[in-house]
Amino acid sequence: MLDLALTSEQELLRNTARDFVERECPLATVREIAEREGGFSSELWQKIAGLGWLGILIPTAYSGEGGSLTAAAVLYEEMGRGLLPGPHHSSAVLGALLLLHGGSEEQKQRLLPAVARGEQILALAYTEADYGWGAEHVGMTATARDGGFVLEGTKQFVPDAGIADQLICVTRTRSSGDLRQGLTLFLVEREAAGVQHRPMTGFFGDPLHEVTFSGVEVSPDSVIGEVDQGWEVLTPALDTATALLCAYIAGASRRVYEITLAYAQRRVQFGQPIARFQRVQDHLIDMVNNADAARWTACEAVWKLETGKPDAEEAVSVAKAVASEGFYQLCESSHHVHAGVGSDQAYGLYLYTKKSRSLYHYLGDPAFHRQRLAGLLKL
Amino acid sequence: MDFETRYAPEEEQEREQFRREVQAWLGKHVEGVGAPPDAGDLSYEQFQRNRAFLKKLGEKGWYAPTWPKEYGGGELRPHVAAVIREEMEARISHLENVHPPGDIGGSAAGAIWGVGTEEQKRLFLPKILRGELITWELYTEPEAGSDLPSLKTLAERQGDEYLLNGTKTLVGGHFEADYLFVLAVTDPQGARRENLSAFFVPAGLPGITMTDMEMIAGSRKLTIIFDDVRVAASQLVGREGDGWTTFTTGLHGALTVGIGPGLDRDGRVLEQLLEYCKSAEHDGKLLSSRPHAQDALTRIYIDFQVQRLFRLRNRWMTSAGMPVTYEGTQEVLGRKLFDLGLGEATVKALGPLSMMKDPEWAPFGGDLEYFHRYAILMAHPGGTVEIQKLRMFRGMVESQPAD
Repeated sequence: MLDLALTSEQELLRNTARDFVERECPLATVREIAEREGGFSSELWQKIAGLGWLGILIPTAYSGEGGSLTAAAVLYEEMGRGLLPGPHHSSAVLGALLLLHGGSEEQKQRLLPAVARGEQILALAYTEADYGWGAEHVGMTATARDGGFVLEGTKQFVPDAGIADQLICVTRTRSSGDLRQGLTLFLVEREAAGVQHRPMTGFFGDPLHEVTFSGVEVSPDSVIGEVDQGWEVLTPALDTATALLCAYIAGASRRVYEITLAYAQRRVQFGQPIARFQRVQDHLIDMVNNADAARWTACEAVWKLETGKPDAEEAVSVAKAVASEGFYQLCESSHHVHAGVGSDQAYGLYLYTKKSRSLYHYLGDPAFHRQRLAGLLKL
Repeated sequence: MDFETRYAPEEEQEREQFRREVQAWLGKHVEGVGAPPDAGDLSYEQFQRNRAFLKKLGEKGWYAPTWPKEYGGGELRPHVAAVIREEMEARISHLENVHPPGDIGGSAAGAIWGVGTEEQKRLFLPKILRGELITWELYTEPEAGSDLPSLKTLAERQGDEYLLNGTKTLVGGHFEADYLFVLAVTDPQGARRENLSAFFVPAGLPGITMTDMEMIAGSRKLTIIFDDVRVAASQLVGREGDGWTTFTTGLHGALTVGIGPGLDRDGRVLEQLLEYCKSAEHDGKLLSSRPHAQDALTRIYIDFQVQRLFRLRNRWMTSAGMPVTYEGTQEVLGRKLFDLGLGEATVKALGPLSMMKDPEWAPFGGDLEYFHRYAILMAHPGGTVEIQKLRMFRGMVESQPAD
């Protein structure tokens, strides 16, 4: 039966999350953390861990909260609203999901409780210089040797690699035939011999790194899932992680819209609030359309994943194409309405703008998801 | 959250029971009823057959199925009433042209229901709500479209009558109407929106001249001239000077008159477009495999999902009794723009075939070509895109007032 309301527990979670983010991490703090080396606050991280947020997707059997996907989406919408920094998505969503979908019992027992407590941070090293989220974009190799594997290659645009304890590295172990059938995932300690990382600089909304693997030796028990079968582990984990990222974007988008509408009602030019000008109104209408589209496509994708609907993948790609494009355009519109003050770092809008650029590509840009959708629709 | 649009089991049971009754009834009456994709191609004979059918539907109380029986409705609950449209859509080609909004007179019924006298309700509502009367709405004038309070058509009180003079345009409607629901000026010196009154005028009164307009799509439209037309004062709907309220009351009631709006037309056209591109070849390749076609198709498919979700959200908000501020207009605006976008997608994906009505070559007998023209036309009734934006922004401010 159609009912798009949150349950009372989800409402409570939303309110708690909103209060926490507003209190502990206003935009000035987000900016201050972003400017720190590593872009990380261990203090804030401990508080987030204390609230149980890092274990929201982790079953209670592994000391997590065992929350529903919808509850996680509620949380992510609020995190996005306040741009809560930290490797929560890398570690508690992507990392945890990859382990849950493909990890051995030993890997799960060893890592998931520590991830939930915030003591171990995971990060996914997927993309390379030939940036893209399809299997064909993975060129870094892992070669079998002496009963183990040797990793060779460079990953780029890896979020949170600077503070991760473990990297989940996607490698190519077979180059012939269907390229999706030749990927293998490895758990690699970031401090392992031969692993080097350096921060990449630019107009990024997340701390991104280049990670180089030079003759890094790993044992067979560091494989997540089966050799050559990494795509089977990646697909469901990436879909769920993408849906939650869309919820994050929806929250951020709504906040930018609200900030901009309030500004337009407050800002007086030519003797009246600029919100009275229809050209300004057009920007705000585009913004609310983009924010609402992001929210409802994200919510439906989450619902379809959670209830196992056969077209859930399609809904995820729709949601990401909508969220990426919408958030980008919405920040453009916001800058048009704000004019000069929007570019002043102290005002804080640029934090959202940077994020809209970084998340545009992350986990697949609109072109990637439209192409995937074309495949799913059998076009 | 639950996005499931299926009905609850007990409601579904009720619907299925009613469905059998509707199917049996339609089986006896639906033969020969239908319309071409382009309403402009409808013959007068076909129009008459369709009209006779709609009257029979009205006798059953199924023409305005959710309205009270006392006034000609069927007093059915919405989930049950929806079965009537579902079954008719399955059996009747181009139902939207059999039952065009321009002929329904929904806002006249809404206005009479809301502000009419008891006598008007008794006299007119059952006839409108049983599909016996065709009522056209006469608001727009050559010099007043979006800005309705600046209308010029004058209704001058003379004893027990009003003398009507002026020109209305973009009216109708297929072929003929029984009544005209007219918004006119009764106080030329009055303040905006306090200067108007609404009348339910018999269409055959002396002094009324109708001229055809040739539109790019849809049913016939007319320009109607009133030259010293004498209208009985009893045909005034609402109070004199309250025409704006009568008009807006009518708009609110309009959607529930007739067998209800068809919500799936754009979905149907999109499905046709996708199916056609997946099966038709060009230069030995499926149309859908061409990169530019794929791009256009996936973009419009995504836009459709957004519009579908806005519609779903609004249905939920309304049924949950939540205040709707900008969301209703967002849906209307989105739909107008989506329809235009769908027209554009057909052009991009199909090339010149998209604009073809040729019986030998046109995809789906010209449905797509017709939809393209129709979308251009439909961007304006009920408020242009720009007017929708003005309304929507007012709602946005209402939902987030200034600090």
